[in-house]
Amino acid sequence: MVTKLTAGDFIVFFISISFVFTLYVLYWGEDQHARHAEIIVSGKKQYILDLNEEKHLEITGKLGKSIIEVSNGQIRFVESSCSSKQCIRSGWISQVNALAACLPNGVSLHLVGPNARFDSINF
Amino acid sequence: MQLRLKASVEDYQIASLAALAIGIHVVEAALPSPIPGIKPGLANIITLIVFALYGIRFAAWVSLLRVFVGSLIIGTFLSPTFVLSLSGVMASLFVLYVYSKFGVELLSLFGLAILMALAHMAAQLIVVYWFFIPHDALLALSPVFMTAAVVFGSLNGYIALKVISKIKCLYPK
Repeated sequence: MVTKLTAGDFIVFFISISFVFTLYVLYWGEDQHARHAEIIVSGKKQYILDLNEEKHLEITGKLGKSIIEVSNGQIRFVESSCSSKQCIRSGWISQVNALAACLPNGVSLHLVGPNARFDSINF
Repeated sequence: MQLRLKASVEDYQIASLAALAIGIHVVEAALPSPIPGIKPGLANIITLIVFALYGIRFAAWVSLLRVFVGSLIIGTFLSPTFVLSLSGVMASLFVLYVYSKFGVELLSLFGLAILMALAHMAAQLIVVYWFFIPHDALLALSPVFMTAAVVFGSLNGYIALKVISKIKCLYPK
């Protein structure tokens, strides 16, 4: 059993640091901004919006109205007929696979990137 | 017919080392963590020291006893926390086994601890992805978790190395 630091230790240490650094580059990098948002109302895909176009949209869900705003590559809930307003509190979302939802109203915003991935969401 | 179980010296040794690891594990569970799922994992220092002094079998026993008994004491037995703890420890024990067969001359406890910590964290992320949160956002969290694995793995490995070198000083074999 070796009781002092060996060359192998340094190699392992530096390889693991570079590995972790690579993870940051991969998953925290810039190309994580989404291009389109899908708006799903009561389980059905109703709209696909391009995030580069400024837009104010009124969606009617189970409870009533939800107002969505698209601006600057981001999307958010502005107003909603739910009582807790959690959807509005999610704020602006812009990352691929990000999600904002008004569950009482059955309206959810999903951000989709260049690689189409199928998510299954149950609520 | 009476059944008498006789504990061997080895049983006592493993039990006392496991008790030490369990004590550290439980006390550490009381410390608040800024990010859920990230802990210093100080009980792993015991695993490393036990491995260095007694070998892989003892280390495996002490580790697994720590996971099971620790979860019973904390109250998370058979919960998702327990599943994650167990998968992490199994993965790190696998790395330990490979090390015991092939790498004993190449790495000290420092490098070994980093590898075990990485395996532990990676296994936990995989289990979470498969069974609890199959969402890409988990991958976005992986840099943070892996950083913690490297940092705490190095720390624990260094502590274990220092302890072992002092013990070997006293009892050179």
